[in-house]
Amino acid sequence: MLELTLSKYLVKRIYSILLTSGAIIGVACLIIILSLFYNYYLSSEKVFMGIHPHIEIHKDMTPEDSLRLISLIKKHIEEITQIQPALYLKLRAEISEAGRTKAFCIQQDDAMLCHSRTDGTGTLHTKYGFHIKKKQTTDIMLKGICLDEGRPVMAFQKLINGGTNLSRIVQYEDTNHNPLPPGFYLEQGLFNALTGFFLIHFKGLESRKLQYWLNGSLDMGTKKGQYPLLIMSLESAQYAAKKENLINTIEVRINRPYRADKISQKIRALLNDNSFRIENWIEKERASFTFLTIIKWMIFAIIFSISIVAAISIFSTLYLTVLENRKKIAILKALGMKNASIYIIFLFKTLTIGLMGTIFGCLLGYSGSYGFIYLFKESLEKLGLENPQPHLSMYDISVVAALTIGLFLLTAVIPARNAVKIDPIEGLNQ
Amino acid sequence: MERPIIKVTNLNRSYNLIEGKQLVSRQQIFDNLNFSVQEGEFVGVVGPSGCGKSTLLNIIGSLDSVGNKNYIKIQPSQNNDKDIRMPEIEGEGSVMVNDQDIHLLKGAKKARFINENIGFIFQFHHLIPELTALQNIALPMQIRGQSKKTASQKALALLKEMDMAHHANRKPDILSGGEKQRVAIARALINSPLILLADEPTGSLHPQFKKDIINLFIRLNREKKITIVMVTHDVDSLYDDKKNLMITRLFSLTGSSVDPVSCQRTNES
Repeated sequence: MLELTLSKYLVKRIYSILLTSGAIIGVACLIIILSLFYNYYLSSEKVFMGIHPHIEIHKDMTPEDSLRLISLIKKHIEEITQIQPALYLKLRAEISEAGRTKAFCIQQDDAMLCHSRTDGTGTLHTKYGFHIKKKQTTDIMLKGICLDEGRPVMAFQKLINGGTNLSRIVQYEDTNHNPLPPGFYLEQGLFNALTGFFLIHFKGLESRKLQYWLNGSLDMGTKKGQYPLLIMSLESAQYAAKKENLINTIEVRINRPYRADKISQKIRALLNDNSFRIENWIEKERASFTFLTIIKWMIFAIIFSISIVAAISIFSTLYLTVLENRKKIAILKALGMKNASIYIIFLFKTLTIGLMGTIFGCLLGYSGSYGFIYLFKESLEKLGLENPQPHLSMYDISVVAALTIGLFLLTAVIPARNAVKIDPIEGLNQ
Repeated sequence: MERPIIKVTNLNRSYNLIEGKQLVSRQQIFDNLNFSVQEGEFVGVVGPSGCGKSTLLNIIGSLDSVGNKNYIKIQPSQNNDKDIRMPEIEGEGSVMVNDQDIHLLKGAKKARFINENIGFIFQFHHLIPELTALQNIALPMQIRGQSKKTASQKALALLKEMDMAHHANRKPDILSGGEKQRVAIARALINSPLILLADEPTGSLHPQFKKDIINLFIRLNREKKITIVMVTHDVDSLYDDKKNLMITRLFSLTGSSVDPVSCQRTNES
């Protein structure tokens, strides 16, 4: 096409190379950032997907009623992979971080602070004492849950920093039937870092002073308006909260988490009872997803400034090119070239730069993402990105390509208009 | 009866010299100019510098407009607060080229008209330096929408006709003045235009090439029946050794038939 050929000759090759390089760098940076952010997004999505059961059905009921309900739902909803009763309670608790000392007890009369291990015959085996380091009274969300073949309905084991032993959720007696601190999972936020032994004293339940061993903590922070999350066995929770015969939640795990909305509707239709409150993980984390998306596009906008700088360079180069080539443009007009074709010459130039920038920028960005991940894999994993891989969605590539090419095409409008306006007589006499 | 392919009727043009929002002077170059060219004629337009030879050619070729243009704001001589807009170039009249009133041509129609009907040849060749001779010649045909291959074939044929085939892939910078002008003529001919408008085509050439170029024009006019309007200062080269005029006729913008002396000017302030 003639316009394409002329666009090659009107803008000097060195300018084209430099401008295309700028475009490639701009697009590559965008792709690297989007690719890395996509990792973070997916990790966060996994977190959100696992931190809650996919679907929660809330209503106070007896354990027997809950089993009947579970049986009904399991029978009619095929997508369910796990369904268990649970007790969710908001409680006020005093949580203390404590050090345990063997064969030492400060207050013999207080079961809370002293713990004795005996053998099967009742003979004292070991004595432990605790001394409190930190103490905090706070509202907490207590979740008493059941395991199914060692797995909770929530996939929160993926979130734990440090060692986990899920079986300890239900193991709260030793082989001598001595009470052991049941394992629990605590969302961080109470103290900067919780490790080792903790003592919990539920306010209003004075006789239920309990001691726990921390199995792991969820490094998620505490969202505004929500309480730190304490997870333990259903029996432990019922015992701690003095609600031995209460179930108030059915936790559901499904095989297609992204269809949680639709499956919630199916359950709602099946139960046909407004006293049941049904929530799914997507609804619960909608604000978080929105936040992540906003952050993603904010980062995108900041990095896109590289492309804007490249676009400004293209604009100034084309502007100067028109000034430099007034005579050539006048010649083309004297030969009968249409204004539209002169426009197209400049649009082709920016389109070529934009296309080259997008194609090679995407390739460089994709390989750059691999390089970054290879170099910083450990750091990324420490940040919570599990097995980071470059991820690029067609949507992201399309947005980058459309914005880059669109922006570059815009830069050609004013120079092309100036070219069209050149008076052939003045141009030829230059 | 042959039809006029170019008919200029009552053409007026004047230039307003404006400095600091004040009209300083007014220079009229055409005052009811009438000029016509029959199909197949070779007309030499003569006249001293500044009397509007090139302007006439540019108007006929639609590169310049017949009407007013380049409006700027000026303060009228009376004490009036409001600025008025005045054209730097004032013009009126009718210019018909191949039965088309060129004043009515705008945008793409105008471009197509130029491309299909007019072949321009300039004093300084105006070849595009980045393109080879062949590419330069093929350009108008490609602008017309013909394929690169077709245009190149025709361009090569024209180059052969001008004994320039061996220069096909050379860029204008390494061609001599006469060679460049031949390339420019070939470029003007590639779309088989009705009219060739040549603005001092021999003006920048070495004397030895001038005759060649004039002879080429005469050959094109006689063999291909192309109407040619040529602006020139070099009237002598239009006569043969026996002092016979080799072209159809000369047209003097001053009114004298062959030896123009001065242009009529009207200065107003």
